[in-house]
Amino acid sequence: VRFLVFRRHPVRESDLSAYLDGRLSERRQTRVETHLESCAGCRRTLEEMRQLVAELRSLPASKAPRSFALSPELAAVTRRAETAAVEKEGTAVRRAYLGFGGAAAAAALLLVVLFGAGLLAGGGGGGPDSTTASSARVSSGAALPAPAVAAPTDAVAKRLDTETDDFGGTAATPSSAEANAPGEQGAEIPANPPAATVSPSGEAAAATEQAAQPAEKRSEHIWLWIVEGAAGGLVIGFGSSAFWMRRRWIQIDRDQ
Amino acid sequence: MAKYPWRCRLSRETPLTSLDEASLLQRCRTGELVAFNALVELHQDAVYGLCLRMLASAQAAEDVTQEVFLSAYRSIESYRGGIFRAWLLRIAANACTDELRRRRPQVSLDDDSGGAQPLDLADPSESPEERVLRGELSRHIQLGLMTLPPDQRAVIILRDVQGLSYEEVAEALRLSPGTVKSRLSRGRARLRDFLLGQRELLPDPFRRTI
Repeated sequence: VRFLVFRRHPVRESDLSAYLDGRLSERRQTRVETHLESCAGCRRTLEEMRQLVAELRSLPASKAPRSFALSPELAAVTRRAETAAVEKEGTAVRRAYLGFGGAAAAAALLLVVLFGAGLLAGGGGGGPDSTTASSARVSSGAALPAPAVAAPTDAVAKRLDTETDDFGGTAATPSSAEANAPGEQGAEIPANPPAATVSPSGEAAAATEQAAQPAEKRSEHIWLWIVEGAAGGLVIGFGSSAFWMRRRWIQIDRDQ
Repeated sequence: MAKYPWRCRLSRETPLTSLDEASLLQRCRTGELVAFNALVELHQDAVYGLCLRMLASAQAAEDVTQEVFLSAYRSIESYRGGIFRAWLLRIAANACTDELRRRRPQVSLDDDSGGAQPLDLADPSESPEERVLRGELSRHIQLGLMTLPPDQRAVIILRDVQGLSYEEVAEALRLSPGTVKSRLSRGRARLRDFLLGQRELLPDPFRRTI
């Protein structure tokens, strides 16, 4: 049905309105004209619209009841008000510029401090950790002479103690742990079974320690990153605001 | 029908030459009040006419017109080329919209609003603006205009009553020519329906004239 209606009325009212004003393209205009020849309804609509436009056009032209020219006093008052407004805006803009600029600088400072703290934390925490981890691995591998890494091996040895206690069986292990420095003996002599079992377990302990520490570090870092990102965002936001305020300031100065 | 009827109307409507206006504007920039007032005299009828037909109240139209010229004087630096009358009419249209909004905050100014709202009708018949809205036909047309949503009303007033070109209307109301076209068509259709409805109610002599 809708299709049929559309077929019967390929011309809309807006077309008629535009046709009346001569605002149709030539192609569309001829289409409307050919349609008008066959469609009485559209002819009537067009006629009514034409009459309406003629009536609107023939309305008495409205004359201003008085002159709206501005008196010098009125003009002076508005000018003064305007310059006052501009000056007010100028001070506001200047203040906003300083405020935003200061905030951006503070945020930048914060960012620098955070970044520095992150570096320090990464350097202070990460460096020794890795060295102990490697030394632990090395000592438990027992390829290096023990005295070189005496301090770490103490810790490792203690740990090994507990581990071996858990193993619970052998009485030979305490002696080898007590001997400490001769730890390599154990490695060198395959006849000593506890030492052979200890070294893999020590390695495992070092590995778990290693795995635990970076996880902690990573979560710490995520917080640092978030705060740093927020500070960076603040720097960008305040900075661009300050930039725009500066532009407006320059513009106001030029206008005056 | 002439191919470009609006051109004839425009020339009938505006006796000013653009050269004159340009030099006046040039002098206006330097804050010369005399030059600005010459421009006021040139355009005050158009501005007042728009305000009067938008607001249907002589008093409000007068106030808003004065306001329009004051704010135009204040912001003359922000006028950057284009049709000066369209620039003025834009200020006027905005001021009228503000005034209408102030008057009836509950009426939204959307396209689809307003048509059937009776409060629009109460206004013109009671306010004392006989000077221009005199005469039964004129009064009915004004009543019909007030039933239109303000954006359609503004287009009808500028295009059909004041005879501006589509381009001028588009510039004055910051619309695309396509939007001007569609608003004009909808406004005309609505106004026609209103007047056809009113015709039945009119006394006999007016039936023939409308």
